[in-house]
This record gives sequence, C-alpha cells and structure tokens, in this order.
Amino acid sequence: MSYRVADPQVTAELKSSAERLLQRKSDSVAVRAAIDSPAGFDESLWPAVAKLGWLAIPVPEELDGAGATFTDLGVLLVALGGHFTPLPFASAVLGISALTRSSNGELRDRLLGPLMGGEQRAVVAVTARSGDVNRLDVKATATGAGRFLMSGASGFVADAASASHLLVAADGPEGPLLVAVDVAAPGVKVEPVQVMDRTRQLATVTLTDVEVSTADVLTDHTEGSVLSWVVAAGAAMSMADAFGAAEAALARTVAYGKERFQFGRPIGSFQAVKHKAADMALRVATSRAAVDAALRALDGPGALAPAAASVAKAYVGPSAIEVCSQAIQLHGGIGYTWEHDAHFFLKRARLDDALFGSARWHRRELMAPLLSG
Amino acid sequence: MGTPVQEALASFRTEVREWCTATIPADWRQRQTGIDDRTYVEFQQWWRGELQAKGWMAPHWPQEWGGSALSLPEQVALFEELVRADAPRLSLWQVGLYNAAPAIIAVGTPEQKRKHLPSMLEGKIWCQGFSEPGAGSDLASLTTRAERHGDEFIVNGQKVWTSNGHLADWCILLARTDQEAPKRRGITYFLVDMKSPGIEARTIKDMSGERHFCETFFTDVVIPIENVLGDVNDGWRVTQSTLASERAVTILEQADALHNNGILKFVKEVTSAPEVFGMHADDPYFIEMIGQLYVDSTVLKMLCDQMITEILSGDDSVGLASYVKVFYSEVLQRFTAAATTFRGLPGQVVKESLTSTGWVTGDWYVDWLHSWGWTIGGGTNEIMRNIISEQLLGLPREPQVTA
Repeated sequence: MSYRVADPQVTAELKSSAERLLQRKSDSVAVRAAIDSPAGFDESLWPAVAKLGWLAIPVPEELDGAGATFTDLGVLLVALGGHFTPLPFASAVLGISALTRSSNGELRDRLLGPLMGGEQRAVVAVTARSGDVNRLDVKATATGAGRFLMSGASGFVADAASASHLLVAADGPEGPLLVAVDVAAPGVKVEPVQVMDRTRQLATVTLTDVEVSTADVLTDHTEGSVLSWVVAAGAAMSMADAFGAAEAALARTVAYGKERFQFGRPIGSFQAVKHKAADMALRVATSRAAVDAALRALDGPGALAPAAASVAKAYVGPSAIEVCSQAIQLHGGIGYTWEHDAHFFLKRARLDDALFGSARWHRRELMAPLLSG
Repeated sequence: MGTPVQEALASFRTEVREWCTATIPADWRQRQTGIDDRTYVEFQQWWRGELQAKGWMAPHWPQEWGGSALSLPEQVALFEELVRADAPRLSLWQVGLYNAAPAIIAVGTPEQKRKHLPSMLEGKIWCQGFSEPGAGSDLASLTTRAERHGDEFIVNGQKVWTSNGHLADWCILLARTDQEAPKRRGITYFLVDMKSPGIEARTIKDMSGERHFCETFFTDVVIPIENVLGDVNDGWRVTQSTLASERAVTILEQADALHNNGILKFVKEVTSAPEVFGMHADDPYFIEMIGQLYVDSTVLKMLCDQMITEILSGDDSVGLASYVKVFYSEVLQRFTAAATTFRGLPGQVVKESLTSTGWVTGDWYVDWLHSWGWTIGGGTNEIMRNIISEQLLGLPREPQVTA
C-alpha cells in the first residue's frame, strides 16, 4: 500500500494560517454581509485563498500542485466549516481532485492551471436530480465518431452557478462517464436553488442535447472506480466541514456555559448542562477520528476510500447535527435567534449530512458486502 | 483502514497467528463452559504460562521485570491477533497487570518490584480493594481505616466489587490513614497479602447469576509498613495515575473484540440463518440497526488508533481514554441489547456460562447484562462525563456540599 502521509508540521502551519485568515476575514459580520451580497459569498476572500495556494494542496507536484495530502486539505475544510464561511472552496478542490485522477492528460493539463490559480472553477455534478448519489439522471448517447449527446439533470450541485465548468457524471452507452462541460455550452442550464443553509449555494444543472466528444471525457466506464472515488472524496470533505461546524459549536457552547450565570452560578456548573456538553465532546472526539481516517484514505489506494468515507458519512453527519442541535438548546433563548450564530452551524451540519449520500445510504453501502457474504 | 499504527508489523502478526494456531485448543470454549472455579483457575494458569513462556503476558513491561518491552504498535498487533484467533482472555490477571503493576512500577521500592512483579508473571493473582459500600463514585470518601502501630498498620473496614477477591493472592488496598486531613490527602495505598488473618472475601452473585466479585471484610488485618506503596497519605495520587493507564491499554483488546467477535459475528449469525431470528437477512430494520452499530464500533477502533498514535507521539492521552471508556461501554450495551432483541425468546433461554472470554461471549443476553459492568465499573459513565466536562472542557465544578 502506498500512502502519502501528511507532514504534521505542514498540517499545523496550514491550520494556523487558515485560522488567522478566517478570524480576520470571515467573522459573523463578514459572513452575514457576504450571504446578502449578489455573489452570495465573499468575493474578496476567493483571491486570497487562491494566492495562499489552497486550491493546489492535494495536487501532485508533477502536475504543478503542492503535493500535500487530503489531511492537509482537511484542516482548511474544518476551519471553513467552523467559521461557516460562504466560499466555493470545497467544490472547487473536489473538481480539481477529480481532474488529477483523470486519464485524459490533455484535458487535465488544459483545465488544471486556471483552476489551481483560481481564475476558473470546475465543480462536479455527480448527483441524481434528487441530489442522491445512488443513480444518475444524465444520459450520454453516442452519435458516432467519438461524439455524444448529453441530456438530463443533476440536482443540488454545489457552486454550479459560479463555476466555469461542470464535471458531469452520465450514464454512457457502456457505463458511467465523467465529462467536462463548459457552463456556457448550448443546452446547459444552471438554476440556483436556495437552501436553508444560506452560507452555501446549490443549483440544479439541466442538460439538453449538450454535444461533447471523447476529448471532454475525464474517465470512461472502464474507470468506474474514479467516479466512486470522487463521490467518496466529496463525502469525506463534506464531513470535514460538518466536523468543523460541530467542533466550533461545542467550543461556543462551552464558552457560554462559563459566562452565562443563572441561580448565581455559571450554567456550565450544572450537571445537566455538563453532561450534555460531555456528550457533545464525545461526538466531536469520535467524529474527528472518523474524519481523519476518511481523509487519510483519500491519499491511499483508491479502492479503500469509499468504505472509509461511508463510515465518516454514516457517523459524522448525524453526530454533527446532534452536537449543533444541543448547542442551540444549551444557548437557550439567544440560540433560537437569527442574530446568534448557532443556527449557521446547525444548518451547515444539516446540509453536509445530506450531501453526497445520506447516512442511511452509506450504512447500507457498508453493510451490503457483509450481508451477502 | 491503513492507519500508521496498523502498517508494517506483518511478520510479527504472522508469528502471533502461527503461535495461536499451535497453542490454543480449538475446543477451549466448550471446555470452559459450565465449569467450577478450580477448573477455571487451572485453565487461566495454563494460558498464563503459555503467554509468559512466549514473553506476551506482560508485553508492555520492561525486560528486567520479565516483560518483553514490545513497542506500542506491536502490543496493538498482539492484542488484535489474539482477538482474531479467538484466544482466551487472561481475565484473572487484568487487575494485576493493568492496575497493580503500573502503580508498583511507578512508585514502588526496588524491593517491592523484585517481590511482586516476577511473582505476578509466575501466577500470583491480584484483586483491587478500592470501592466500599459507602464510597462508590465518591471513592475518596472511603472509610476503611488503617492505624499505625509501630512498624505495622492495623486495617478494619469493608470493600466491595472486589473482582476475583476469592481467588486472589494479593490485594491493592486503599485505606484511610489520616482522619483529620482533607479526604483525598488522608488515603494510603497498600499491598496486602490475601492470606493475612482477618480477611474474608465473600462472593456476590451478579445479575447474570455469576460470581466474579466479592465483598471483602478486613478485621484487624496486620500490614507490615514495607507494604505501603508510595508515601503514607499519598495513595489518592498513585490511584489516579493507575486508573488512567488501565483505561488506555486494556480497552483496545475489548474494542477489537466488540467489532470482530461481537458485531461481525452477529451479522454472520443472522445472515447464515435468518429464519432462526424470524426475519429475512435484508430486513430493513435489522440493516439500519446493525449498520449503526457496525459504524459505531468501526469509529471506536479509529478512536483507539488515534489514542495510540497520540501516546506514540508523546501527547497526553488521558483525554481520549475517557472518551474511549464511555463510547466503548455504551456501544457494547447498545449492541448486546439489540442482539438480545433480535434473538427473541430463544435468546432468553438460560445457558451454561462461559468463562475466560471477554465481554462478548456470543450469549448476547448475558453479555448485555454484563455490559453494565462497563458502564458502571471503572468510574460510572456519569462520573466520566463529569471528568470530560470539567477536566477536558474546563467547565466549572459543581459547588461542593461536603468537605
């Protein structure tokens, strides 16, 4: 087994650099301004992130990337989740990661440069119309001479509305394909869908007889594992985000438990509060182990990634919702308001839990081989 | 899933596997079912001898005391392979190896080490006299007294939940030696010969009907002063370090056993004969329920790996150990409860009890009953939650009512 293993010092430096940037540029006031802006995210933060080289982190050095690991990428995702930052970062890195796995070197080399530099963004559309990952609702029909017509829809695609390219998974004549499509191509329609988590921007992608050729195909049916790797990567990355939200929600709750006085005591000294906080901390500690394992698996042999991602998705998503729910409860009345940030964590976790397959679906994926054997 | 801890070690694992195949009788489970204490002790002593001859009884000890000073990853590999080989558990030496020995190694005199460490590997069994009828979660309020008379202490009092007290040769005992000091500062840690006159260990039947622990009475028991471990009145501090190491190491084996011999084995039971369980193997409720438990136990193993990695890198591991204890015990309880439910009425038929196993024997109902041994023992999960919230999260302590 060949693993790229994270250098703890690099990871720690990235973490503190991310915290420094986001504390300055992505506090509550900045986020609230950004989600009400026309772009829906902080457009001044994007070039900063690109300049820091975050987009090239998991890209191998031979492709001009940083040659770092998904563990390194993970600390950034955790930080973004913890600051509920509206930024098309995870989707952009997932697109880049999908391209680095492409066997179509010409396509990869053409797209990768501007994507890593942040001038363009390619996002994956690997969901069915309903947002599920158990089937594809886009079909690619061969029209001869290496050309295809693509039609159908992919739902709840992150940051499609601000992307330059879509990496669309389609049912091809011989099996699934992953195809790069220019958003400006004839027949491509991207309609934003406003979800409850205002810090994220999803869209429905509809394709009507969109013409593509083999030159646009990232991976064909013989490389079906690449598609499952992309779904696994999306799942693991969404769980890093959810973990970040949960960890931050716990930290805020603990801080509030120390400063809020009732009955002449800090509420955090009441055992009813403490035990809930301990349960939250337990969920956070276990979730960290699951997220770390899922991210590590993305740097290993591709076949290991889906199972580790499924464990994370099945455990961390529901756990993060639980932690963020208890954060609302323990904040009492103030936690119920729009003005307080607690609801951002809750909604962030809620969306992450539903992206890239539900916990229930991933549990079934894990159990299937055990039940048949 | 390919963590650094699990890497390499392949040849060591092969060695353990081959040794297990050659050493462990295939029918040991049948032979250890429905037996008396004498047969149980004989079997445990045999298994201890086999492990000790190989240097694996105390793999974590330094070689000078008869251990084999295995690295932490090797210890993990050893435990994992023993679990996978369905090896017996060295249950009679858990207190000795993971409670008494770490304390003796940490603060014992050279004489105490020489006297007690090698003899433990040669078969001396230890029990733990900490809890009392009036001092459970509030252990520091214990009232067993040890009064000094020259070079001896005279002990009077009662201990409870003394696992294997009726089989033990030695006891680690906490007793109050200063009535006036604040409660944590007046406790001394003793090493007590269980053959001393005045000790009576009566077994207590647990709710499964088995007898593994005792109430132990101390009446004018004489302890020579050389059997004080650490300083007089410093026993509480010694205890705290001991409990942490107990949680850190022994639980790895249990986590692996829960995953492999518990959850995976149960799934196999159901899929191989779903009609016995009155359902189809693709029953959605079963898949959902067991799927959650499978994920929980997988995450538990990941958490254990993380704890080991942190210990290896020199980080403080006490924090994660608290999480591991709570999580393990509650997953164990949820799993055994679910397995008992799925097993239906046939699962409620009384069977002869199986010894020398861990906490998942395959008799899910009995395992379920024993699971409270983990959620209550070793610090109740409520106390663990106090520790997590106060010591790890830094939340304020509850106002103290008593001194």
